[in-house]
Amino acid sequence: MSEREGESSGEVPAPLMVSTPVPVPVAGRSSGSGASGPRGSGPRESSQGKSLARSGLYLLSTMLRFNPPDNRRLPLFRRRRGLRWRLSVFLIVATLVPVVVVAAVAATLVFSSVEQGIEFEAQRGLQVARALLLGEVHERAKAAAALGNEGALLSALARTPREVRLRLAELSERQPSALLEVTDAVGRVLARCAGGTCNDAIVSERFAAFDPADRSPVVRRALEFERTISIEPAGNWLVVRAAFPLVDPALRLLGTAVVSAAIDGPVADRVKAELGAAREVIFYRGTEPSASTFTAPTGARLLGPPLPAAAALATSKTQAPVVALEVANHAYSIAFGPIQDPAGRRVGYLGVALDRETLAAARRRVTATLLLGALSVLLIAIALADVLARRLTRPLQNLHAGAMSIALGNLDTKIAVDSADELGDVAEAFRVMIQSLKENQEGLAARVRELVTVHQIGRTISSVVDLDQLLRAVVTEALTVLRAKTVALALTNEGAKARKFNIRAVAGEPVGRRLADMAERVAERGRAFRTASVEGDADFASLAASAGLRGPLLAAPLALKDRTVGVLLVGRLGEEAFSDSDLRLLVTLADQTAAAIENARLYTEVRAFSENLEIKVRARTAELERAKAETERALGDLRMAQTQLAHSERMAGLGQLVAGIAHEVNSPAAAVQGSVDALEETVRRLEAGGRDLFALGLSPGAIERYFALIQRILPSFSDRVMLSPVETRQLGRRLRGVFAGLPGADAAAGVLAELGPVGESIADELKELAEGKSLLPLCGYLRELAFLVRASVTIRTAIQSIRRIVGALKRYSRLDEAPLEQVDVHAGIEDTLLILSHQLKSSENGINLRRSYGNIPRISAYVGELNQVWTNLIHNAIQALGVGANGEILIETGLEPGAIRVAIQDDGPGIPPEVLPRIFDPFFTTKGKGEGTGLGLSIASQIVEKHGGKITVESRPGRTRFEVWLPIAGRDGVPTARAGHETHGKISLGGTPGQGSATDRTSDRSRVAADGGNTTGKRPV
Amino acid sequence: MTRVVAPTRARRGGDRARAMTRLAPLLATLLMACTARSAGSSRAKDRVVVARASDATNLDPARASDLESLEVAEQVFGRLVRFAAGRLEPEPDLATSWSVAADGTVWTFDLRAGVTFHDGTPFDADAVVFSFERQIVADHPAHEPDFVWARAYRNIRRVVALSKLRVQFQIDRPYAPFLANLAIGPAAIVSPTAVRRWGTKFGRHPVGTGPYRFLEWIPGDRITLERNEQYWDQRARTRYLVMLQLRDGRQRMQALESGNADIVEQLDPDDVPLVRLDPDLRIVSAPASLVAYIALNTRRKPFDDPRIRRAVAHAIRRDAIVRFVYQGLATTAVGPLPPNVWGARQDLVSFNYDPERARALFAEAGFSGAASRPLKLYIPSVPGQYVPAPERVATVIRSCLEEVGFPVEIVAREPAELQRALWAGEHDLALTGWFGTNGDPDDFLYNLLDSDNATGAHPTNISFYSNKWVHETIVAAQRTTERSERERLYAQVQSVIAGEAPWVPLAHPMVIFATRADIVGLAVQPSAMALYRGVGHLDHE
Repeated sequence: MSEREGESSGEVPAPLMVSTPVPVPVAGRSSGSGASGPRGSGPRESSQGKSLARSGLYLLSTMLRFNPPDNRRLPLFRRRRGLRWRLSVFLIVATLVPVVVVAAVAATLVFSSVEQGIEFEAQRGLQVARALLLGEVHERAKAAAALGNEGALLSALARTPREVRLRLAELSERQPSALLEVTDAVGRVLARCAGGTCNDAIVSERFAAFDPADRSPVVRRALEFERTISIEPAGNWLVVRAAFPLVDPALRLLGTAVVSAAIDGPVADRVKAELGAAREVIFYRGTEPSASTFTAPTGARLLGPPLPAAAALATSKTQAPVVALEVANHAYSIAFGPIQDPAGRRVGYLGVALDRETLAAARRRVTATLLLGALSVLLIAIALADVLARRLTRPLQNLHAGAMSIALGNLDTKIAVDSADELGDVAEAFRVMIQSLKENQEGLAARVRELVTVHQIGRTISSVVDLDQLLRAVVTEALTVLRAKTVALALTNEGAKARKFNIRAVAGEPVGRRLADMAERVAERGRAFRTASVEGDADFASLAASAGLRGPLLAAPLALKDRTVGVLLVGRLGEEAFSDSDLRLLVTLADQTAAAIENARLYTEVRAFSENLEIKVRARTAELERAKAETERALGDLRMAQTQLAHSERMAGLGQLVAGIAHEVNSPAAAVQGSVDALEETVRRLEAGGRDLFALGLSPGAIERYFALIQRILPSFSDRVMLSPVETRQLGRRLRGVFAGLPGADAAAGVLAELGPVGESIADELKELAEGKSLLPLCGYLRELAFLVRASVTIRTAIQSIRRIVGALKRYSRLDEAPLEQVDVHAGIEDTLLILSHQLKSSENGINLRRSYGNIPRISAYVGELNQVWTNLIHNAIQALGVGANGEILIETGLEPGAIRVAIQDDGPGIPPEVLPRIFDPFFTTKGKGEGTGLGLSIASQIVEKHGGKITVESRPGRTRFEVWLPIAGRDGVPTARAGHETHGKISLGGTPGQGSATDRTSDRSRVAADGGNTTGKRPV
Repeated sequence: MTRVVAPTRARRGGDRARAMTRLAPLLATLLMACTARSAGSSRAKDRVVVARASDATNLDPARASDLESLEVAEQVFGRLVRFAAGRLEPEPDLATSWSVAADGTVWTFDLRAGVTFHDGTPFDADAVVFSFERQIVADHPAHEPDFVWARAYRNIRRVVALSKLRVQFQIDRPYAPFLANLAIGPAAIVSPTAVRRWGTKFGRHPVGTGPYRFLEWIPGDRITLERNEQYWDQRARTRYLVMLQLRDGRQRMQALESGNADIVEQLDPDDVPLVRLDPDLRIVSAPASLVAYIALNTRRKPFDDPRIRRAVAHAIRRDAIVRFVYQGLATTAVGPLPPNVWGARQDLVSFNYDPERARALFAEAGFSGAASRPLKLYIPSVPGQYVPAPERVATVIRSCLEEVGFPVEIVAREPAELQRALWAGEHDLALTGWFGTNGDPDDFLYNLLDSDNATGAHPTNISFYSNKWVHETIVAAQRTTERSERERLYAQVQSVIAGEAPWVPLAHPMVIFATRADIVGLAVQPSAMALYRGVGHLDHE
């Protein structure tokens, strides 16, 4: 059929359209439409078609069809593949690829699911087989347990080994495949029976491979009461061994019972029977096959295939590996799983095999079906592809021929495609394209000339920075380039309010000088334009006439960003009109000119600015120097004010101090005054008493005894014991009893009683030396003497008190003159307290003062200044406690590494947290106006800083604590040479906590000192 | 041409169709096998199935007293504090921090913010107050008389919500184990909304804040829990947790072997060797806070005489029992405290097996077995947590005691009935045990041997042992928070008790679980419960 059609096609004028032979119906239609192909195809095609048709290899002809133009020039083997050939191949591939892919995917899926199904079945079989095997094991364990609970066996065990054997032989009949053994309580085998006999020879022959139970670890563990099951390798097999302790009711160990059975062929058969058809079971002892259900064609049992490496490597965590193996010329998929002993050691493997024959059959069927399908699809695809390719490529080939002709330079070629589809459109588009190609070629040449010109001008004017020079260059260039008669360039008049143009440069005919007004008009229009005759333009006619301009005109504003800086006017004075390209040229020129003008202007400005700048810098420097002098003067003023303030604070403190002192001194002074007043009276009464005494007329002996008495008791007057009035009266009554009967007894007793116990002690002596005379003068004189002594004591006490205060004041007030000295801080605090004692005691304050003094060394300091610190802090505490409060002030001192710490703490209401950070600020006070200067704590803080110490405060209601830390060595002292000093030095002693400036200096110095002493780890050489 | 071709196409198509028809069933089967397998494995991977011998009885933590119920509640509920995995030491749960006042009677807890119950109720201090008040306040609307744990919290005087996330407990005396008691089952914080909604049926609809939320309970079959996606801590590894009840041990093992169950709880010791032989299975064991013992009723003759008690201790072959019955999965007990509870002494006086010494002690005490009535040994009729084979143990005890002339009658009872008999003190000897819930020695010593607990309707000291010094020392230790001081006191108590022999301590059993080899993250607590939060399949996230 194809042969015949091929021959007939050889005779038609369009040999390319040789029809396709298969599939038949489609090919028939295709050949029909092919015959109605394009008319007048070239003779090249025809000869080509003929030669191929003659070849008769239809398929080959489709693939080897060439492009006609190339055909002439290229040798056969290098011929370019034609569009039609490619289209055919593409269509075949496009049809075949999905089919092949789908077929391949389907096949893969089917195969893999079949494979997976088999794997899954094998794995499931393995799982079941393992459960069955464990079931066997369990059976053995139950058998062992049954032996353990066998009463007769136990009682036999209590009697003789012979009875044990008899009994065990009986029991072994029930388990023909197992070996039963019984040991005694130390693990020796007493009986070994199988299949109803305990005959050693028979048993040993049947279970030759089995070691006797006493060598098995299961027995050892059973002797520890453990019921054990194990799978052990024995001989060629794996052996299940179950042991059970034999005990009496009181749990006394009598022995063990051991049941052993090989995992052999019959076990495999039992497992296989449970698994179902087409499955085989293999057991491995270690990695060697030991038993299986495979049979050779002769019916003999086979051992099974060797264990594949994959099975031995697999871990129990992953799926059991499935391996395809051939056994007895039959393919199997075998799943392998380990068999382990109780300790988890692998003693063997279990395999379950599935016949792969079903899989192989399915695979064959699937492959055949898919191949057949693919082949049919391929044939259909080839046929369809050829027909389609043919129809699509014919107009394209024509189009190609035309395009090639054009490409060779023949722009007049006509393209012979008139189909009404996209290809026809393409041909039409080709025609239009050729037309515009011609036009563009011409335009392009003109444009290139323009660009060259513009580039030259640009290069010229952009190199000029002087404005006038620039403008001149522009108009000159414009005149030349535009072949003009006159060129004028106007610039806006900067500074003028209205937009005003000045002609700044002119070239050619001088008519340009008068064109300023026209420039203005052009700027208003805002764009470049050309006119063939300026007289015809209503806007410019009159202006041009007045300037003497005529004929064609070109004008362009010089635009810079958003403003117009100037206008360029070009005239030919009635000659040839300007073209569009002239206008473009001018616009480009105008743009470049505008930019160049801006450049020139900026350049000028920059130069002017830099000149200005120098002058300004000089002026600014002078100003700054003035300000600096001003600041220094203000700083001086401030320092002076600060000094004055500190002074006035000190004065204020002095005032308070004087008030306190005055009070302190006043009390003893009043006491002295009172005593002195009484003294006069007493002396007068003493004189009168002396007279009375003399008048008494005592014997010289008595007088002598009397004054001796006075001498003796005089000192005791000064420490008189005060008696209450009641006691005095009682004493008087007693004395009256003593003096009873003597003259003036009653009055004398009253007087003597005033002297208190001393009076009573001398009553008898007085009575005796009175020699019956009146006692009253004797007693009266004594009383006056006593008064005298007491007054003098009072005065002395008062004076001492005054001296103490004055001394304290003296020490305290050594404010400025005192040099740096070793100061006893406690003494300073005590002096301060004394001076403030007025405030501490007075005004019902009831302040309880508590001292907690540690053992602290003297420190190097200015005593007066330190006292001021204590005064300020204690005063502050007193004030904090307020009037009428029952407060307590605690003064605590202690030794810290390298420093002393003085804490002054009160239980007042505390300092509000928002105030706390500011209390050391100068002039900060919470007191009312006029009550405090706000300098107290500030000064205290300054003094402490001056001493190289620090002052801290913490406060909450009920506890405000100021701590003053002072370095023992003083600010400028040399630190004490102590081990670990540097570490101690880390404690911040600096004025500002955290900065630790003083500390750092100190430790620096200490390092220097240490280096000087050559002690810091440098060994002397 | 058409006529010729069409049949050809038809024939060819027919062939293909026939091939397809032949292939179809094969394909279908394989496809099904394939999908069934993948579906099967994916279903198995997002759930963990636990097989247990008994079902839970009540999931209300205030009511649950059996291990099975408590274990479910453990997964569903959160507490203020919880035991760290594997240790009985409290760590923060719903409370983030706590403090105790100097006098030891006021405990303040800061609560975790942003936690909600499974029903969406926000967790706050009110929920804490509600959870405890309903147990300790008799006229609380949600209080029920059968709340079994009220006793554990009787020392709480008040629970006060100080703020939304701060709660305070006032207890009537310093009590050292108090914090540990807040980590045990009944201290679970329940959703007040759910309790009000379900009332007494809350035990069938538990709502807590735990890692799993309750999904379904088919009594006698299974309890299903689902992961709480909003759990405040690391959320559970597996989506579903199924607690399956399988009474028969063989059935449980089969479920495990076939993969229908992933975990078997409280494995029968007899099954241990089989599990060891199966490479797909694994044993997970942990020392439990458990003690199994023979209680001697000290309130009745002849056990009011310590010599006779000691004689009994000498007569029983304890080591053999432990080895034979527990099969190596327990340690022989010397005293009441399991070795993993702090303060446990291992150096106590121990009564080794010595029948001669036993006879001598009987003679010394003037006791004659022949003249005596048979003494009643009460045992549970079913295997349990403490003793896996009670009848076997009872037989051994009887044999041992009869050998020294001491007649014994075994009385086997169902667990509930046994409990009642022991409360009533009907026994002479009882085979029983105790599992420590809070990890504190006090839990054992106070509950099991203090005179406080030898009285009342539900005594826990079922040997009715009473010793004034022991009582005072135990109470003193409760008031002490210093661990070392408590250890010292407990050491003394243990040695006094050992000498007085109110018990024959038997064993401290281990908890043994069996799991599939691909199960990871199982943490068995010393309290014999498992934490299922981290449990999952190896290759499943």
